[in-house]
Parts: sequence; structure tokens; C-alpha cells
Amino acid sequence: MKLFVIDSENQKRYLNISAISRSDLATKLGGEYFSVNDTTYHIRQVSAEASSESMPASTVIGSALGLVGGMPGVLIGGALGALFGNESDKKEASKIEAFNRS
Amino acid sequence: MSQLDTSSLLSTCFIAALSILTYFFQSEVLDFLRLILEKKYLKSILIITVSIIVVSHSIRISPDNDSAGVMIRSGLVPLDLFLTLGTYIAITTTACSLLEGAFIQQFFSDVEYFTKFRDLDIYVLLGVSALLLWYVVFHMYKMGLELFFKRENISKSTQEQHNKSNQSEDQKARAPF
Repeated sequence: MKLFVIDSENQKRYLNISAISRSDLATKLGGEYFSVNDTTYHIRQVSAEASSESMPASTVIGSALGLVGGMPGVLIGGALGALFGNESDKKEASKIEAFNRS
Repeated sequence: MSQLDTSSLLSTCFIAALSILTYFFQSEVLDFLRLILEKKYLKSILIITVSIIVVSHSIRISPDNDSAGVMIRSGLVPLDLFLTLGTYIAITTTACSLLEGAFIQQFFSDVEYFTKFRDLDIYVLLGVSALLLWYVVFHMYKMGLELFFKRENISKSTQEQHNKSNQSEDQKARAPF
């Protein structure tokens, strides 16, 4: 999960911090205001989005490691990799929703 | 029509290509894997990758990021780095050694690593060691993504600063070209 603010040029600026909610972010920052490159933002301006999809990478890693089990190993490894990656994506999506709703 | 998911399509093609390769060239693939495992190429590559990513991650990414890849968070960065690196390297070396033994015993039978293990035990060992390696590689991928994305460092500010910042933004917006 990546936290970002949108600057005056409509560019996303990703923050080098993470939090489960905006109040958690305020606690970590020690206040509700913070600055990025001389511009000050309020924690309400922070949103969360997914880092990247894990499922394709996890599928590729699973199938490559499954090579040690021959062709069935590749298929089983790929399927398990996809399953675990999908699970990771679902967890991240629920974290993002929780942050954006906070 | 909805947009094509390129990454899922590519990963499916990758599985298909590997399956075809192992189906038609099984003995060559097995010999190649034996070479990689016996010469410790896989272990060396993984240890080097883990070391580079974990050390760079601890330097570049703030400890406030709660990265899933960082296993221990004591608050002391050098201790966290040492323990995380140690854990990943221990998992990698153990999994590679177990994988090598189980793979060679199951598919070549010229060396017996586990004398009292039967077929089922060996298959379970193959699965568990592959799962451990998946865990390491997947976490390295996630940490790598965090590492290569540009992130802005933030510092605490006040409401007055926020108001000033908004005023200057408004002035910039109203300024003639």
C-alpha cells in the first residue's frame, strides 16, 4: 500500500511512510500537518493506493520454483502462486479501503 | 469490452512455456536444474540478491513504512537489519540444501541424501522447500518494488504553514503567464 498526496501540478507524490488510518498517520507524524518539498498538506489530503498487483509475480515465481517437480510441478506451483498472490492482493485492497474510509 | 490484463496474460504465457519446455525436454531440464543446485548457483544468486535488497531497503526506506518484508521491528535499525538479513539467509540456505537433496534423490537416484525417507516424504520436502524459496523471492520482489519507487520524505508542519502554502499556491495559479 502506498500513501500519496496530489500536488499543485496534479502529480502524485508518494510518501515515505505508511499507516493503517489517517489517525494512525497523525500519531506517527505527531500532528495533522506535514510538509513535502516546502508544501504543507493536511492528513485529509492523503490517500492510499495499491503498490502493484502481486498475483502475476507470485504466479511466475511459483511456476519457476515448481520446475523441480517437472511439468506437474510447474502447473501446481503456478496455481499455488496465483492463489497466494491473489490472497495478498485482497488483503492489500482491504487495507487501502480501510485507510481511504478513515 | 474490458481492458486486457497484460501482466496476468504474460504470467499465463510463462507457465505455458515452462510446461511445454518440461514436457518436451524433461531430461535436459532436470540435468540443468541439477547443475544449478549442485554448483550452488541458485543459493549464491539468492543470497546476493537478498543481501543487496535488504541492506538497500533498510537504508532507503523509512522504518515507519511497516514493510511486510521486514521481519523484525525492534525500533533499532541495525538490529532489525541484522535479524532480517540473518533470517532470510538462513531460510534461503536451508531451503536450497533441502531442495537439492530431495530433487537429486527423487529424480536421479544415484545419491541417497535421506536414507529413511520414502517417496511421499521426499515430495513433501520438495514442496516445503519450494514454498520457503517462494516466500523469500516474493518478499524480495515486494521490497524491491518499494525500493525502486520514488518516495518523498515528509516532515511535521503546522496549520499556519499550511495556510501560507495554500496562499502561495493560489498566487501562483493567478499569476499571468
